Amino acid sequence: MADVVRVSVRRGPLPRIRTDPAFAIALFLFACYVVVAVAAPVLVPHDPNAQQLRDILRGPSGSHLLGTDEYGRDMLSRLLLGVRSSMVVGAVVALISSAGGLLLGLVSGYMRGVVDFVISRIVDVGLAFPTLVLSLALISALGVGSTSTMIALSLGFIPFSARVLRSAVLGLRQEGFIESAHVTGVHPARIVVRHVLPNLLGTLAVQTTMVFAYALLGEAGLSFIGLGVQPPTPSLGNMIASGQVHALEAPGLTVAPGLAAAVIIMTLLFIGDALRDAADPLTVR
Amino acid sequence: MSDPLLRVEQVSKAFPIRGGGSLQALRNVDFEINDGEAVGLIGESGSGKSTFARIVVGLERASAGRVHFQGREIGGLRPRRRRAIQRDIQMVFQDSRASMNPRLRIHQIVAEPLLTHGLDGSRRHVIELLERVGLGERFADLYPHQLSGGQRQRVAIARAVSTKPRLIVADEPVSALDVSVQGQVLNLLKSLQEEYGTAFLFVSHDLGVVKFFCDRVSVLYLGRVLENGVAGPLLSSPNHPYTRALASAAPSVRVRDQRQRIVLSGELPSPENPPSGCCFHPRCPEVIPDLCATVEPGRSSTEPGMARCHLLTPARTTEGAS
Repeated sequence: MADVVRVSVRRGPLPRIRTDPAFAIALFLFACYVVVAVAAPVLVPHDPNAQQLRDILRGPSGSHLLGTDEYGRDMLSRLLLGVRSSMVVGAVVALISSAGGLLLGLVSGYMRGVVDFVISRIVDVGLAFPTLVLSLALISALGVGSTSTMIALSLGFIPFSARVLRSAVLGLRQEGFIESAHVTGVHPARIVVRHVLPNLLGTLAVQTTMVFAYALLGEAGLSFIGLGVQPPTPSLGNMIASGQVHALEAPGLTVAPGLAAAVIIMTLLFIGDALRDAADPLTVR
Repeated sequence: MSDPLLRVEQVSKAFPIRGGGSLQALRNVDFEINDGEAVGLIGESGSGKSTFARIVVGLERASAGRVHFQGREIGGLRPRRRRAIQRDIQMVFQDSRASMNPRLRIHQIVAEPLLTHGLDGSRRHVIELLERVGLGERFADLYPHQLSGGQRQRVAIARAVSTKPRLIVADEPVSALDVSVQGQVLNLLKSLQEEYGTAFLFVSHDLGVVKFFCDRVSVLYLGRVLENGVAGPLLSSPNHPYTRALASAAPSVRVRDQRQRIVLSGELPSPENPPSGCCFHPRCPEVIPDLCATVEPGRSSTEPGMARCHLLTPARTTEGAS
């Protein structure tokens, strides 16, 4: 009999750091954003809401590394807190919509039949509305603010996650090892937990990071038009909105939060991509 | 003799197809397996043999007919009752890689049926099972993709015998393996069958393998049993023209054995639109004009079992002799 075939088993996405510099950089940046999001209140050099009306729209200086805004508030402090509120919205939306999408996708993909039909039609309706329009409608019903932004965006993204996860579950149902478990007499709940869920993790991780990225974008959009996080609390979106008035005199007011948003969104997309590869133990590097 | 272990009566299976109509995968199939017996099911791709296997293990429901196991009707059982019965009916799949969760280690895969049915799923017991199929402890912590095809199929066999089932349904268990490995795996199955007295439903398109492994054989064509009987005599001197064609097409190493090869013309007709009369008549080298295309032949008893062919009906035999 042939000897054991030696194939390296990948334990997770982490070994990839050594071989994929883009992933390493993305992970590092993501970690930085997380640290900022968690520790922003401690990190800020100034009170982000303290107005220095004598020092408005100043460029970078020793005491204000990123200068000051139109009320003379410290830009760096506002940026750090803006990242924090945007990250919180993004993370909460990503988690809620992944959890909701996973539940709907599992139930409708695994049970099929009438349940699947009903859930799928509801999801179709959800997908037919542009997410931002749906969110606008929900916010007008719930009232303006960061909590309703999170609820609205979560509900807006659930149909996307549900659709993706449902089709992943449908694919898994056809797999030989699921059929084998059925033949063995394994209880369906156990099949879902032991055979379906672990094989969904890759799809789920990718979907969660993607939704995280789009939720950040959505939050920025909603805050930009004044429906999201409300001033004076900074968020990347409302900072861009208030800064654009002064785009010519002080371009930093829009560029800094805009850049911060672009970097985290790209970072998340990179990570999502790497997770997708790592989640499948059979992927050959 | 008491009830057979598995008795399938008049089972039909039709799959609805898009745009109306249906695909008749199985038609009025009768089939029996006695305790400890190995019965082969042979036929071309598309003959319905895998569908039959899937109905027996409960992956599909028959559209009509009854499936009795140990004297009980199991075709219409509720899922809960059905799961309990699966302890006694296990399956070995053709594609061993697909039949194992890529995220579980070998010992977890083998332990699953044991734990499902409240049996001893300890690592020690699992390793005993692995050793019984010729694999050692060193395989226990590997993942399925780290094994060769033959090793994986041994794991699949260890998993299937773990609950000491009364019946193992093996759907082309060796056809994905190299010929040298095929022999080893077949010998393993044979020795396990003798050791545990397990009955086998052995689905294959390989007549040599079936002849080696099975006590009796059923020949399936377009979802119908054309001939069945004791394996040796049936395959060495078949009565039905279709079985003759199959047997003549099986390769043989001895030059003396080279029989006249019967080459069937045309493809297997579509089961969506099966031929009238005898379903084999469009390809039959010995077709009787008018009769075969219009009248479906009944059962004629033969030396090893039964066959459905107008050539074998008494009236025809005398006519042919005169």
